[in-house]
Amino acid sequence: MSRAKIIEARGLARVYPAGDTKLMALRGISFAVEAGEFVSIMGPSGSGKSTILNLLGCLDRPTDGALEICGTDTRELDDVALSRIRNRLLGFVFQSFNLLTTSSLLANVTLPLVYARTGTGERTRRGLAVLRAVGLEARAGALPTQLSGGQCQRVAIARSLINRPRLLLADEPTGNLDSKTGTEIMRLLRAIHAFGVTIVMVTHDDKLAGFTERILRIRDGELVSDERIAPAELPPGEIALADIYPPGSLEAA
Amino acid sequence: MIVFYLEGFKIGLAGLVAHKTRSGLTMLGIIVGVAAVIAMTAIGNGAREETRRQIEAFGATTLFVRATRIPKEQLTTAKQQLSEGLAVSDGAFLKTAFAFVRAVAPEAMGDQKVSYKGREPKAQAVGVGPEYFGLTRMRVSRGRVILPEDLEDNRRVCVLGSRLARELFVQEDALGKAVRVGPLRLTVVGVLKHAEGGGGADPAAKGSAAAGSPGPGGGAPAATVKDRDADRDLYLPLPLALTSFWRHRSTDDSFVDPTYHRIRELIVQVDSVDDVRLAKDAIAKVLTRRHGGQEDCEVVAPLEILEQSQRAQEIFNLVMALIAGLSLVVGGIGIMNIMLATVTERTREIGVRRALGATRSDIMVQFLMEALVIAVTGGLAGIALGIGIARLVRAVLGWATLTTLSSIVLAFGVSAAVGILFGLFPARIAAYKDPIAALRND
Repeated sequence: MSRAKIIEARGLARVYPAGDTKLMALRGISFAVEAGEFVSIMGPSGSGKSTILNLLGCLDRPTDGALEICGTDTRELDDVALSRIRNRLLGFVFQSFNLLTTSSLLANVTLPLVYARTGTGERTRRGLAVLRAVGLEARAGALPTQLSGGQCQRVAIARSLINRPRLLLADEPTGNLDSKTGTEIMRLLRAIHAFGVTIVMVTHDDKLAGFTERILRIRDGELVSDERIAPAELPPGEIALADIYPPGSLEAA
Repeated sequence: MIVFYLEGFKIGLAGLVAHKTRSGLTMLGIIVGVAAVIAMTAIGNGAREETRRQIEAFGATTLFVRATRIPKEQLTTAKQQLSEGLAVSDGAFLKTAFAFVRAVAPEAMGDQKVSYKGREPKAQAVGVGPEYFGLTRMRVSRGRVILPEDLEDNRRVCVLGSRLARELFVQEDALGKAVRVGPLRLTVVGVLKHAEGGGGADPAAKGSAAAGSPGPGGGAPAATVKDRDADRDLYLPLPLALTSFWRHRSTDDSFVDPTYHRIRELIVQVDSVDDVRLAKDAIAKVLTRRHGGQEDCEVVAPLEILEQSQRAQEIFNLVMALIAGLSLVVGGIGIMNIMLATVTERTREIGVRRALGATRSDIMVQFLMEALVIAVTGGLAGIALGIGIARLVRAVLGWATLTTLSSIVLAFGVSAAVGILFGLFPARIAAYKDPIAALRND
């Protein structure tokens, strides 16, 4: 069965000007990710894996090659259109959580809705729903500084889900956490994946990558291997995604 | 989009509250600039309004010929030329010599004590003809004014200014009572209404300016029309005043010399506003010739004073605009400075917002709104401070002030414009930050 392609990269290249020379961060890589996959991108630092994530996240443009996100060619898009893709189709989970420290949890998780021009009432309703899904609804008015690292990352995951993204991009999501809390976060990601959300995760941790279904290895800006694996056993965490995603919202191409 | 501007406004307000001290200091320039505009326009408008009110009270076609004090030598020379200074005959002459002179009303002033039952309030005895009251638009509240018959029959009567009547008689009815005026006993036949623009009797200024002396012309800083408080006047028939006062003293002073300047002031009314300037010069010239070549009179035209004060007002406004402009520019630079610091400080936040779907213009709007919030809050504080200063000036100095809605709206608009103008550059820097670099920023 051929599923819809969430990502299709063809000859993706990214060159940075570095003085008189050029830094070839990506030397033209091609791969595709289908809906519902859980992919990890691995490689040593400087290999270009972050560059890939930035391109997938529509925060950067390729110097050469083509990139389609959910069937949309991103080459010709302007800032507004790219922002719209980030806002509506993608969810970001960062290593350092990147919550706004002076805003409440509710304000943090509803931030994407602000840029989607969603009304205040709807924002609060959905904000509380995503916080409930990660078990932090009771602390909606708290500040991120009052939370533990694991709780912060759960808030960040709640934020990434609020606009019902089709693709979740995670950049070392457990990098700032101890191994126990890291595993908890991984279980959450497994649950989100199990629900049907496509996830691409950048990591240099083999154990973490072992929980995914497919590993892309990058070295010196080139794709060196693309292997499907049987993910290691890990019971998925509890997250009530049905409250967030209306029925059928993940099926549409 | 409107909704989003509101959102930006909220974010801006939150940023403001989070950095109270810093924001407060940033606002200082705007506060001072706006307060200066508000306070100064209030004072300027008050002065102009006061002058305008006085002119309305006397009419734009009125001129005042005032006797001036002249030195001893000049007085001697004048008397050798058989001049008697300003006199009733001067008034008659002006009326016949100039076609544009419609009416003339002389005032003879005596330095006389006015008393009743031992009460002796500050007062000014003024000898006038029956035409005086029409010309000065004075109205009685009770009784009647001086009539032609009073002069013909040499009746010993008087009409009191409102305040003088109150201070002399307190609870009693003044009409029909006899007051002592220097050597005379005069029967009160009328009490006047409060004299609009007739001196320092502005009720509002009096109410609030307990400490301030109710100076001439309601304390307005502009040149004034009337140089005394008309509410403290006692009016008696002109011939009676001329024959009864200044009998005993003879000095070198042109004001107390019994034969010189027996008329202190001539109120001259001309036909039209266009005649005022011409009349002023012509009257001054003619009177100098009639007074043995001595310039012992000055001609004051309220209309001209208004025009002068308007010219002064224009210069004042220009200087004020310059000061306000400078402090607003300084305030604006302060805002720009603080916004640049804020943008740098919140680089990572910008990155996060961009990753979550904020467009460049979203970021731009957010930071513009923050600058706007600072500027407008400063503007509001400045407006409050300016009104406060205007009130204080009114209470302490007794100046008339007038805060207009238009000056408030203008000040508010200008502060908003400063916020947007000086917020533009930092907001643009924020909007064009590379989101990837911004996310990496610590």
